[in-house]
Amino acid sequence: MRRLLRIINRLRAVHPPMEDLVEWADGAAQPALGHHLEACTTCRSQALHIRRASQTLEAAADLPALAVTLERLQTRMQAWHTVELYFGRKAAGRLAANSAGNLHVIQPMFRAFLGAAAADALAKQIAAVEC
Amino acid sequence: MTRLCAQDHQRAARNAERARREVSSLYLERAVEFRNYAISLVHDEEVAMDALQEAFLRYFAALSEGACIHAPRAWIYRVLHNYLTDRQKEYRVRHETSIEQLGVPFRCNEDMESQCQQHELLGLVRKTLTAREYACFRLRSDGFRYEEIAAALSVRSGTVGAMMSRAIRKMRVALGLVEGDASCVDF
Repeated sequence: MRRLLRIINRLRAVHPPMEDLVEWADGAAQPALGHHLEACTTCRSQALHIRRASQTLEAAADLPALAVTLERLQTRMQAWHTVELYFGRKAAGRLAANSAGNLHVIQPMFRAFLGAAAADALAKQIAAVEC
Repeated sequence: MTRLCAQDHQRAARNAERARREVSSLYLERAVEFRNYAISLVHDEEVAMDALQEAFLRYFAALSEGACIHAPRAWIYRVLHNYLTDRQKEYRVRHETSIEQLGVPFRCNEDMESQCQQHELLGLVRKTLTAREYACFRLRSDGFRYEEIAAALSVRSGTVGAMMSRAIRKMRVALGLVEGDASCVDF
């Protein structure tokens, strides 16, 4: 039954996965996808946005905002790892999803596990990347 | 038990380190591309950079949890797209204002009138143009070049030009514009 449903779903006009759109944007010829893109405005627009983005000639060094984002990202990765070590993956995942909203809730837990100084430092670190 | 915990910590640290290396490497290689994609969707650099940070953090979280991601580039594109779509939806919901809250009946009527006109115009465009012409028209209004539209529709860029001029001619007739007025429209 499941197999039948899978076949029916495939026969329906389902949108292709992002992997296919990226390949198309890179210039790979896929006749089936080409037909879908001719008919589907949403996928066509998305594939064209990807193609245009990937054909850019700008260098990362010309965009200082990218360096700032990388720095923040590295701080958040470090914070994620610390939280994962002490509170588990679920907590780290929630922190990753909404760190600013959860900070006042989890700060007392940081204190209980890490001590006041380390907890404050970690909370500051997380808060800083949100600003 | 303590030994098991220590082993778990070591494994987690190793996974996190490997994930951090992979994330940084992909970021350095492709950040410009992802940034441009995000900007093309939201037209706001700040929001685009936030989305970029979130997408890479989720990539890091997935790798740290031991997920096996075969096509990281497509994965990031998908996360960026979903994140930005969700944010746009949230924004629309948060800024939705009821008629009572508006409290400015005259402006409200004006907005409603202009919305109705836009809706009617869109309906007219859809009714007047063929599916292919409408596709050309829409992609062009999204800012894509003739070559890009041609590649997406599997036609030559000359054909796109022909379809665009045919579409504009049809729209002139449908809107009842005189020749001189409509020639100002530049696509």
